[in-house]
Amino acid sequence: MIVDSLKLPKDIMLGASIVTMTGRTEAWVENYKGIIEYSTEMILLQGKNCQICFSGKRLSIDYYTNEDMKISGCIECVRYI
Amino acid sequence: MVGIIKFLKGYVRIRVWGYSPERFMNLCGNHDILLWNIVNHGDYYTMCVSIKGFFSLKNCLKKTGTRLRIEKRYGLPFLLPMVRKRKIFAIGFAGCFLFLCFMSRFIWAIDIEGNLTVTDDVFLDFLEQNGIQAGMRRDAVVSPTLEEKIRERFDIITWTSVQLDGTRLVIQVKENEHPGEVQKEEQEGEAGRNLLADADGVIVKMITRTGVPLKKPGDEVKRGELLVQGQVPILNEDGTIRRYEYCEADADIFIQYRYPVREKLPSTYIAKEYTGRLKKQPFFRTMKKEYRLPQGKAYSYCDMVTEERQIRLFGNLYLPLIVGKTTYREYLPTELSYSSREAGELLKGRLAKLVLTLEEKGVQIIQKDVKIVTNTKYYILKGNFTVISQAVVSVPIEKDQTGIMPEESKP
Repeated sequence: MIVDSLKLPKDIMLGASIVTMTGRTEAWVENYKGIIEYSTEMILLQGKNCQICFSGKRLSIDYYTNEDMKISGCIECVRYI
Repeated sequence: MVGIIKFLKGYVRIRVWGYSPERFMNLCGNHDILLWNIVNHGDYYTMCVSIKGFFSLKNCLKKTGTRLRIEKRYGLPFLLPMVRKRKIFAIGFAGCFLFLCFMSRFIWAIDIEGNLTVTDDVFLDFLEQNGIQAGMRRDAVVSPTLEEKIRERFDIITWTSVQLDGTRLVIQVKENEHPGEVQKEEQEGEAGRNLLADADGVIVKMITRTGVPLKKPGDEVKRGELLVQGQVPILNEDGTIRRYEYCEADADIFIQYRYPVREKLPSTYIAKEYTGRLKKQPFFRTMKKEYRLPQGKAYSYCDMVTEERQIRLFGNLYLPLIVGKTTYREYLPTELSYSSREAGELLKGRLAKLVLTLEEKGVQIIQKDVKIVTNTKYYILKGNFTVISQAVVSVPIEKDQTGIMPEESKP
Protein backbone atom coordinates (compact mmCIF):
# COMPACT_ATOMS: atom_id res chain seq x y z
CA MET A 1 0.00 0.00 0.00
CA ILE A 2 1.42 3.34 -1.10
CA VAL A 3 0.59 5.14 2.15
CA ASP A 4 2.49 2.48 4.12
CA SER A 5 5.48 2.38 1.79
CA LEU A 6 5.83 6.18 1.70
CA LYS A 7 5.18 6.35 5.46
CA LEU A 8 2.53 9.01 5.02
CA PRO A 9 0.24 9.85 7.98
CA LYS A 10 -2.83 7.66 7.63
CA ASP A 11 -5.23 10.05 9.29
CA ILE A 12 -4.56 12.69 6.64
CA MET A 13 -4.29 10.37 3.64
CA LEU A 14 -7.24 8.10 4.46
CA GLY A 15 -9.29 10.64 6.37
CA ALA A 16 -9.36 8.32 9.39
CA SER A 17 -10.70 9.74 12.64
CA ILE A 18 -8.46 9.69 15.70
CA VAL A 19 -10.10 8.84 19.00
CA THR A 20 -7.96 9.21 22.11
CA MET A 21 -9.45 8.00 25.35
CA THR A 22 -8.38 8.49 28.94
CA GLY A 23 -10.00 5.76 30.97
CA ARG A 24 -13.72 5.71 30.38
CA THR A 25 -14.39 9.32 31.30
CA GLU A 26 -12.70 11.38 28.62
CA ALA A 27 -12.32 11.11 24.85
CA TRP A 28 -10.68 13.41 22.32
CA VAL A 29 -11.79 13.11 18.71
CA GLU A 30 -9.99 14.54 15.69
CA ASN A 31 -10.76 14.39 11.97
CA TYR A 32 -14.51 14.45 11.94
CA LYS A 33 -17.04 16.30 9.92
CA GLY A 34 -19.65 17.15 12.51
CA ILE A 35 -22.16 16.11 15.11
CA ILE A 36 -25.16 14.18 13.95
CA GLU A 37 -26.82 13.64 17.27
CA TYR A 38 -26.08 14.80 20.79
CA SER A 39 -27.81 13.74 23.97
CA THR A 40 -26.59 12.83 27.46
CA GLU A 41 -26.80 9.10 26.54
CA MET A 42 -25.35 9.20 23.05
CA ILE A 43 -23.11 11.34 20.87
CA LEU A 44 -23.03 10.41 17.20
CA LEU A 45 -20.28 11.94 15.11
CA GLN A 46 -19.86 11.93 11.36
CA GLY A 47 -16.34 10.93 10.37
CA LYS A 48 -14.95 11.10 6.83
CA ASN A 49 -15.63 7.44 6.08
CA CYS A 50 -17.87 6.28 8.89
CA GLN A 51 -19.89 7.38 11.86
CA ILE A 52 -18.61 7.12 15.42
CA CYS A 53 -21.09 6.55 18.20
CA PHE A 54 -20.23 7.18 21.85
CA SER A 55 -22.85 5.87 24.21
CA GLY A 56 -22.89 6.12 27.97
CA LYS A 57 -24.23 8.27 30.77
CA ARG A 58 -24.00 11.99 31.51
CA LEU A 59 -22.14 12.63 28.26
CA SER A 60 -21.23 16.20 27.47
CA ILE A 61 -19.00 18.07 25.07
CA ASP A 62 -16.35 20.10 26.88
CA TYR A 63 -15.30 21.97 23.77
CA TYR A 64 -15.97 21.74 20.07
CA THR A 65 -13.97 23.20 17.20
CA ASN A 66 -13.46 22.38 13.56
CA GLU A 67 -10.28 20.46 14.44
CA ASP A 68 -11.08 18.46 17.53
CA MET A 69 -13.52 17.98 20.35
CA LYS A 70 -13.51 16.62 23.86
CA ILE A 71 -16.23 14.39 25.22
CA SER A 72 -16.52 13.71 28.92
CA GLY A 73 -18.87 11.59 30.97
CA CYS A 74 -19.23 7.88 31.64
CA ILE A 75 -18.45 6.29 28.25
CA GLU A 76 -19.80 2.72 27.99
CA CYS A 77 -19.36 1.99 24.32
CA VAL A 78 -17.66 3.35 21.20
CA ARG A 79 -19.02 1.99 17.94
CA TYR A 80 -18.07 2.58 14.31
CA ILE A 81 -21.11 2.45 12.10
CA MET B 1 -4.12 30.54 32.76
CA VAL B 2 -6.71 29.72 30.12
CA GLY B 3 -9.35 30.81 32.62
CA ILE B 4 -7.66 34.20 33.09
CA ILE B 5 -7.44 34.79 29.33
CA LYS B 6 -11.09 33.84 28.94
CA PHE B 7 -11.99 36.23 31.76
CA LEU B 8 -10.01 39.09 30.23
CA LYS B 9 -11.51 38.56 26.77
CA GLY B 10 -15.00 37.90 28.09
CA TYR B 11 -17.51 35.24 27.08
CA VAL B 12 -21.21 34.45 27.25
CA ARG B 13 -23.22 31.37 28.06
CA ILE B 14 -25.98 30.94 25.51
CA ARG B 15 -29.08 28.80 25.30
CA VAL B 16 -29.75 27.31 21.87
CA TRP B 17 -32.96 25.62 20.77
CA GLY B 18 -34.86 25.07 17.59
CA TYR B 19 -34.86 22.85 14.52
CA SER B 20 -31.28 21.46 14.53
CA PRO B 21 -28.89 22.55 17.25
CA GLU B 22 -26.36 19.85 16.22
CA ARG B 23 -26.11 21.45 12.80
CA PHE B 24 -25.68 24.79 14.46
CA MET B 25 -22.68 23.40 16.35
CA ASN B 26 -21.20 21.93 13.17
CA LEU B 27 -21.54 25.26 11.41
CA CYS B 28 -19.87 27.01 14.32
CA GLY B 29 -17.02 24.54 14.01
CA ASN B 30 -16.73 25.21 10.31
CA HIS B 31 -16.63 28.95 10.94
CA ASP B 32 -13.86 28.48 13.52
CA ILE B 33 -16.05 29.57 16.38
CA LEU B 34 -14.97 27.83 19.56
CA LEU B 35 -17.74 26.39 21.69
CA TRP B 36 -17.18 24.88 25.12
CA ASN B 37 -19.15 23.44 28.00
CA ILE B 38 -21.83 22.20 25.65
CA VAL B 39 -24.58 20.64 27.76
CA ASN B 40 -27.75 18.98 26.54
CA HIS B 41 -30.77 19.86 28.67
CA GLY B 42 -33.28 17.91 26.62
CA ASP B 43 -35.22 20.67 24.86
CA TYR B 44 -32.32 23.00 24.58
CA TYR B 45 -28.54 23.18 24.74
CA THR B 46 -26.36 25.56 26.67
CA MET B 47 -22.83 26.39 25.65
CA CYS B 48 -20.18 29.04 26.11
CA VAL B 49 -18.87 31.21 23.30
CA SER B 50 -16.42 34.09 23.17
CA ILE B 51 -17.73 37.63 22.57
CA LYS B 52 -16.08 37.73 19.18
CA GLY B 53 -17.58 34.34 18.28
CA PHE B 54 -20.98 35.44 19.54
CA PHE B 55 -21.19 38.26 16.97
CA SER B 56 -20.42 35.79 14.16
CA LEU B 57 -23.28 33.47 15.10
CA LYS B 58 -25.97 35.31 13.15
CA ASN B 59 -25.47 33.39 9.88
CA CYS B 60 -25.32 30.03 11.61
CA LEU B 61 -28.60 30.74 13.38
CA LYS B 62 -30.32 31.75 10.17
CA LYS B 63 -29.13 28.68 8.27
CA THR B 64 -30.03 26.15 10.95
CA GLY B 65 -33.28 27.68 12.07
CA THR B 66 -32.21 27.72 15.67
CA ARG B 67 -32.80 30.40 18.22
CA LEU B 68 -30.48 31.79 20.85
CA ARG B 69 -30.64 33.57 24.17
CA ILE B 70 -27.88 34.84 26.38
CA GLU B 71 -28.00 33.17 29.79
CA LYS B 72 -25.08 34.87 31.50
CA ARG B 73 -22.21 37.20 30.72
CA TYR B 74 -18.74 36.58 32.09
CA GLY B 75 -15.47 38.51 32.06
CA LEU B 76 -13.87 41.90 32.25
CA PRO B 77 -15.57 43.55 29.23
CA PHE B 78 -18.90 43.18 31.05
CA LEU B 79 -17.53 44.50 34.35
CA LEU B 80 -16.19 47.77 32.92
CA PRO B 81 -19.56 49.23 31.84
CA MET B 82 -20.95 48.26 35.24
CA VAL B 83 -18.13 50.20 36.88
CA ARG B 84 -18.88 53.17 34.62
CA LYS B 85 -22.29 53.45 36.24
CA ARG B 86 -20.78 53.30 39.73
CA LYS B 87 -18.39 56.24 39.60
CA ILE B 88 -17.91 56.60 43.35
CA PHE B 89 -17.01 52.93 43.60
CA ALA B 90 -14.47 53.31 40.81
CA ILE B 91 -13.00 56.44 42.41
CA GLY B 92 -12.83 54.66 45.77
CA PHE B 93 -11.13 51.66 44.23
CA ALA B 94 -8.57 53.80 42.44
CA GLY B 95 -8.10 55.92 45.57
CA CYS B 96 -7.52 52.82 47.65
CA PHE B 97 -4.94 51.59 45.16
CA LEU B 98 -3.16 54.94 45.13
CA PHE B 99 -3.27 55.10 48.92
CA LEU B 100 -1.67 51.67 49.13
CA CYS B 101 1.01 52.68 46.64
CA PHE B 102 1.70 55.82 48.62
CA MET B 103 1.74 54.10 52.00
CA SER B 104 4.02 51.34 50.79
CA ARG B 105 6.76 53.95 50.39
CA PHE B 106 7.12 54.15 54.17
CA ILE B 107 8.26 51.80 56.88
CA TRP B 108 5.48 50.78 59.21
CA ALA B 109 7.06 48.05 61.31
CA ILE B 110 10.51 47.31 62.63
CA ASP B 111 11.41 43.73 63.48
CA ILE B 112 14.56 42.88 65.33
CA GLU B 113 15.68 39.28 65.25
CA GLY B 114 18.49 37.43 66.95
CA ASN B 115 19.04 39.80 69.89
CA LEU B 116 19.32 38.10 73.27
CA THR B 117 21.40 40.43 75.41
CA VAL B 118 20.38 43.75 73.86
CA THR B 119 16.67 44.18 74.49
CA ASP B 120 14.23 45.36 71.86
CA ASP B 121 13.57 48.60 73.76
CA VAL B 122 17.27 49.49 73.89
CA PHE B 123 17.57 48.67 70.22
CA LEU B 124 14.53 50.73 69.24
CA ASP B 125 15.78 53.70 71.29
CA PHE B 126 19.10 53.50 69.49
CA LEU B 127 17.35 53.32 66.13
CA GLU B 128 15.18 56.31 67.01
CA GLN B 129 18.26 58.32 67.93
CA ASN B 130 19.60 57.51 64.49
CA GLY B 131 16.39 58.61 62.81
CA ILE B 132 15.07 55.12 62.12
CA GLN B 133 11.48 54.78 63.22
CA ALA B 134 8.12 53.58 62.00
CA GLY B 135 6.67 56.12 59.59
CA MET B 136 9.91 57.08 57.88
CA ARG B 137 10.45 56.82 54.14
CA ARG B 138 11.79 53.54 52.82
CA ASP B 139 14.46 55.15 50.69
CA ALA B 140 15.87 57.02 53.72
CA VAL B 141 17.21 53.76 55.13
CA VAL B 142 20.82 53.25 54.11
CA SER B 143 21.47 49.65 55.07
CA PRO B 144 25.31 49.55 55.11
CA THR B 145 25.59 52.72 57.23
CA LEU B 146 22.98 51.50 59.69
CA GLU B 147 24.63 48.08 59.95
CA GLU B 148 27.95 49.74 60.72
CA LYS B 149 26.38 52.02 63.34
CA ILE B 150 24.75 49.06 65.10
CA ARG B 151 28.05 47.18 65.24
CA GLU B 152 29.84 50.26 66.56
CA ARG B 153 27.27 50.96 69.27
CA PHE B 154 26.84 47.39 70.54
CA ASP B 155 30.15 45.62 70.96
CA ILE B 156 28.46 42.31 71.61
CA ILE B 157 26.89 42.31 68.15
CA THR B 158 29.22 40.70 65.66
CA TRP B 159 27.03 40.58 62.56
CA THR B 160 24.08 42.65 61.33
CA SER B 161 21.80 42.60 58.35
CA VAL B 162 19.28 45.32 57.52
CA GLN B 163 16.63 44.38 55.00
CA LEU B 164 13.40 45.89 53.76
CA ASP B 165 10.59 43.41 53.47
CA GLY B 166 7.58 45.27 52.09
CA THR B 167 6.87 48.01 54.59
CA ARG B 168 8.75 46.14 57.31
CA LEU B 169 12.33 46.84 58.27
CA VAL B 170 13.95 43.59 59.33
CA ILE B 171 17.12 43.90 61.36
CA GLN B 172 18.88 40.62 61.98
CA VAL B 173 21.77 40.55 64.39
CA LYS B 174 24.09 37.92 65.72
CA GLU B 175 25.52 38.37 69.17
CA ASN B 176 28.88 37.13 70.28
CA GLU B 177 28.38 33.74 71.91
CA HIS B 178 31.80 33.84 73.61
CA PRO B 179 32.11 37.32 75.13
CA GLY B 180 35.17 36.12 77.06
CA GLU B 181 37.17 36.24 73.88
CA VAL B 182 36.48 39.93 73.47
CA GLN B 183 37.47 40.48 77.07
CA LYS B 184 40.74 38.65 76.50
CA GLU B 185 41.53 40.85 73.56
CA GLU B 186 40.84 43.91 75.69
CA GLN B 187 43.23 42.62 78.32
CA GLU B 188 46.12 42.41 75.90
CA GLY B 189 47.29 45.91 76.68
CA GLU B 190 47.63 45.16 80.39
CA ALA B 191 50.87 44.22 82.10
CA GLY B 192 49.54 40.99 83.65
CA ARG B 193 46.90 39.59 85.95
CA ASN B 194 46.79 38.07 89.42
CA LEU B 195 44.33 35.52 90.76
CA LEU B 196 42.66 36.41 94.06
CA ALA B 197 40.38 34.38 96.31
CA ASP B 198 36.71 35.29 96.04
CA ALA B 199 35.59 33.58 99.26
CA ASP B 200 36.83 32.69 102.76
CA GLY B 201 37.67 28.99 102.86
CA VAL B 202 40.18 26.21 102.39
CA ILE B 203 41.92 25.32 99.13
CA VAL B 204 41.01 21.75 98.20
CA LYS B 205 42.77 21.40 94.87
CA MET B 206 45.08 23.67 92.93
CA ILE B 207 46.66 23.31 89.51
CA THR B 208 48.68 26.31 88.35
CA ARG B 209 49.31 26.73 84.66
CA THR B 210 50.80 30.23 84.49
CA GLY B 211 52.11 32.46 87.29
CA VAL B 212 53.67 31.92 90.71
CA PRO B 213 51.45 30.01 93.18
CA LEU B 214 51.55 31.53 96.65
CA LYS B 215 49.22 29.01 98.31
CA LYS B 216 48.92 25.24 98.28
CA PRO B 217 46.06 22.78 98.87
CA GLY B 218 45.04 22.71 102.53
CA ASP B 219 45.80 26.41 103.10
CA GLU B 220 43.14 28.66 104.50
CA VAL B 221 42.45 31.75 102.44
CA LYS B 222 40.58 34.99 103.01
CA ARG B 223 38.52 36.78 100.41
CA GLY B 224 40.79 39.07 98.35
CA GLU B 225 43.97 37.17 99.24
CA LEU B 226 46.51 36.69 96.45
CA LEU B 227 46.61 33.08 95.27
CA VAL B 228 48.59 33.12 92.05
CA GLN B 229 50.87 35.99 91.11
CA GLY B 230 51.14 37.12 87.52
CA GLN B 231 54.46 38.81 88.25
CA VAL B 232 57.13 36.12 87.67
CA PRO B 233 60.60 37.02 89.05
CA ILE B 234 63.62 36.26 86.87
CA LEU B 235 66.55 35.49 89.16
CA ASN B 236 70.23 36.13 88.75
CA GLU B 237 72.76 33.36 89.34
CA ASP B 238 73.26 34.55 92.93
CA GLY B 239 69.55 34.31 93.63
CA THR B 240 68.78 38.05 93.50
CA ILE B 241 65.92 39.25 91.41
CA ARG B 242 66.96 40.55 88.04
CA ARG B 243 63.61 41.64 86.75
CA TYR B 244 59.96 40.63 86.57
CA GLU B 245 58.14 39.03 83.68
CA TYR B 246 54.42 39.67 83.60
CA CYS B 247 51.83 37.14 82.56
CA GLU B 248 48.20 36.43 83.02
CA ALA B 249 47.96 34.08 86.00
CA ASP B 250 45.98 30.98 85.09
CA ALA B 251 45.09 28.19 87.48
CA ASP B 252 42.31 25.82 88.52
CA ILE B 253 41.81 26.51 92.22
CA PHE B 254 38.99 24.79 94.06
CA ILE B 255 38.08 26.39 97.36
CA GLN B 256 35.78 24.86 99.94
CA TYR B 257 33.76 27.54 101.66
CA ARG B 258 30.44 28.25 103.29
CA TYR B 259 27.73 29.68 101.10
CA PRO B 260 25.07 31.46 103.14
CA VAL B 261 21.46 30.75 102.20
CA ARG B 262 18.51 32.91 103.18
CA GLU B 263 15.00 32.83 101.75
CA LYS B 264 12.14 34.85 103.19
CA LEU B 265 8.44 34.14 102.65
CA PRO B 266 5.71 36.39 104.07
CA SER B 267 3.27 34.35 106.14
CA THR B 268 0.28 36.01 104.46
CA TYR B 269 -0.50 36.64 100.81
CA ILE B 270 -3.23 38.25 98.74
CA ALA B 271 -5.32 35.69 96.88
CA LYS B 272 -7.44 36.78 93.92
CA GLU B 273 -10.98 35.55 93.98
CA TYR B 274 -12.40 36.14 90.52
CA THR B 275 -16.01 37.26 90.46
CA GLY B 276 -16.49 36.10 86.88
CA ARG B 277 -17.36 39.59 85.67
CA LEU B 278 -15.28 40.89 82.82
CA LYS B 279 -15.27 43.82 80.45
CA LYS B 280 -13.74 44.07 77.03
CA GLN B 281 -12.56 47.38 75.69
CA PRO B 282 -11.52 47.55 72.05
CA PHE B 283 -9.00 50.15 71.02
CA PHE B 284 -6.97 51.22 68.06
CA ARG B 285 -3.71 53.07 67.95
CA THR B 286 -2.03 55.04 65.23
CA MET B 287 1.57 56.15 65.39
CA LYS B 288 1.37 58.02 68.69
CA LYS B 289 -2.27 58.33 69.66
CA GLU B 290 -4.48 55.69 71.17
CA TYR B 291 -8.24 55.71 70.95
CA ARG B 292 -10.32 53.59 73.31
CA LEU B 293 -14.03 52.97 73.25
CA PRO B 294 -15.75 54.05 76.48
CA GLN B 295 -15.95 51.19 78.91
CA GLY B 296 -18.10 52.41 81.77
CA LYS B 297 -17.27 52.26 85.45
CA ALA B 298 -13.92 50.65 86.17
CA TYR B 299 -13.58 47.79 88.63
CA SER B 300 -11.84 48.50 91.94
CA TYR B 301 -9.66 45.40 91.56
CA CYS B 302 -9.07 43.81 88.23
CA ASP B 303 -6.57 42.03 86.05
CA MET B 304 -5.91 43.72 82.75
CA VAL B 305 -4.93 41.70 79.70
CA THR B 306 -4.19 43.56 76.47
CA GLU B 307 -3.95 41.87 73.11
CA GLU B 308 -2.96 43.86 70.06
CA ARG B 309 -1.88 43.30 66.52
CA GLN B 310 -0.72 45.45 63.68
CA ILE B 311 -2.89 45.50 60.60
CA ARG B 312 -1.17 44.22 57.50
CA LEU B 313 -2.13 43.54 53.93
CA PHE B 314 -0.90 40.82 51.60
CA GLY B 315 1.30 39.25 54.25
CA ASN B 316 4.00 41.89 54.57
CA LEU B 317 2.46 45.29 53.92
CA TYR B 318 2.18 46.68 57.45
CA LEU B 319 -0.17 49.61 58.01
CA PRO B 320 0.35 52.21 60.75
CA LEU B 321 -2.67 50.98 62.63
CA ILE B 322 -2.71 48.72 65.66
CA VAL B 323 -5.98 47.25 66.84
CA GLY B 324 -6.59 45.29 69.96
CA LYS B 325 -8.69 44.80 73.02
CA THR B 326 -8.16 45.05 76.73
CA THR B 327 -9.94 42.57 78.95
CA TYR B 328 -10.60 43.52 82.56
CA ARG B 329 -11.33 40.62 84.92
CA GLU B 330 -12.69 41.67 88.25
CA TYR B 331 -11.46 39.98 91.42
CA LEU B 332 -11.83 40.44 95.13
CA PRO B 333 -8.59 40.46 97.08
CA THR B 334 -8.59 38.13 100.06
CA GLU B 335 -5.80 37.93 102.57
CA LEU B 336 -4.82 34.34 103.31
CA SER B 337 -2.02 32.83 105.32
CA TYR B 338 0.24 29.94 104.41
CA SER B 339 0.07 26.86 106.57
CA SER B 340 3.45 25.75 107.85
CA ARG B 341 3.35 22.79 105.43
CA GLU B 342 2.58 25.03 102.41
CA ALA B 343 5.29 27.46 103.43
CA GLY B 344 7.74 24.61 103.88
CA GLU B 345 7.01 23.27 100.41
CA LEU B 346 7.31 26.69 98.79
CA LEU B 347 10.63 27.35 100.50
CA LYS B 348 11.89 23.88 99.56
CA GLY B 349 10.98 24.64 95.96
CA ARG B 350 13.01 27.85 96.09
CA LEU B 351 15.89 25.96 97.68
CA ALA B 352 15.80 23.34 94.92
CA LYS B 353 15.91 26.14 92.36
CA LEU B 354 18.93 27.67 94.10
CA VAL B 355 20.71 24.29 94.16
CA LEU B 356 20.03 23.88 90.47
CA THR B 357 21.38 27.35 89.71
CA LEU B 358 24.53 26.67 91.71
CA GLU B 359 25.06 23.31 90.01
CA GLU B 360 24.66 24.95 86.61
CA LYS B 361 27.44 27.32 87.59
CA GLY B 362 29.68 24.33 88.34
CA VAL B 363 29.47 24.64 92.13
CA GLN B 364 29.72 21.32 93.96
CA ILE B 365 27.56 21.20 97.10
CA ILE B 366 29.14 19.06 99.84
CA GLN B 367 26.76 19.68 102.70
CA LYS B 368 23.44 21.44 103.20
CA ASP B 369 22.66 22.83 106.61
CA VAL B 370 19.43 24.80 106.50
CA LYS B 371 16.39 25.19 108.71
CA ILE B 372 13.08 27.02 108.58
CA VAL B 373 12.42 29.61 111.28
CA THR B 374 8.99 31.15 111.81
CA ASN B 375 8.12 34.51 113.26
CA THR B 376 4.82 36.39 113.21
CA LYS B 377 5.29 37.87 109.75
CA TYR B 378 7.66 35.60 107.85
CA TYR B 379 8.81 32.08 107.27
CA ILE B 380 12.58 32.27 106.94
CA LEU B 381 14.78 29.57 105.51
CA LYS B 382 18.35 30.13 106.57
CA GLY B 383 21.58 28.24 106.90
CA ASN B 384 24.72 27.45 104.99
CA PHE B 385 25.84 25.22 102.18
CA THR B 386 29.33 23.85 102.23
CA VAL B 387 30.41 24.11 98.63
CA ILE B 388 33.48 23.62 96.47
CA SER B 389 33.95 25.87 93.49
CA GLN B 390 36.53 27.89 91.61
CA ALA B 391 35.94 31.00 93.71
CA VAL B 392 38.70 33.11 92.22
CA VAL B 393 38.81 36.46 90.46
CA SER B 394 41.33 37.68 87.95
CA VAL B 395 42.48 41.27 88.54
CA PRO B 396 45.04 43.28 86.61
CA ILE B 397 48.37 43.99 88.27
CA GLU B 398 48.54 47.63 89.31
CA LYS B 399 50.80 49.80 87.20
CA ASP B 400 53.15 50.92 89.97
CA GLN B 401 54.10 47.29 90.47
CA THR B 402 55.06 46.79 86.86
CA GLY B 403 58.34 48.71 86.86
CA ILE B 404 61.51 46.92 85.87
CA MET B 405 63.96 46.39 88.70
CA PRO B 406 66.45 49.26 89.09
CA GLU B 407 69.77 49.14 87.25
CA GLU B 408 71.88 48.61 90.42
CA SER B 409 70.27 45.24 91.09
CA LYS B 410 71.74 44.02 87.81
CA PRO B 411 75.07 42.17 88.14
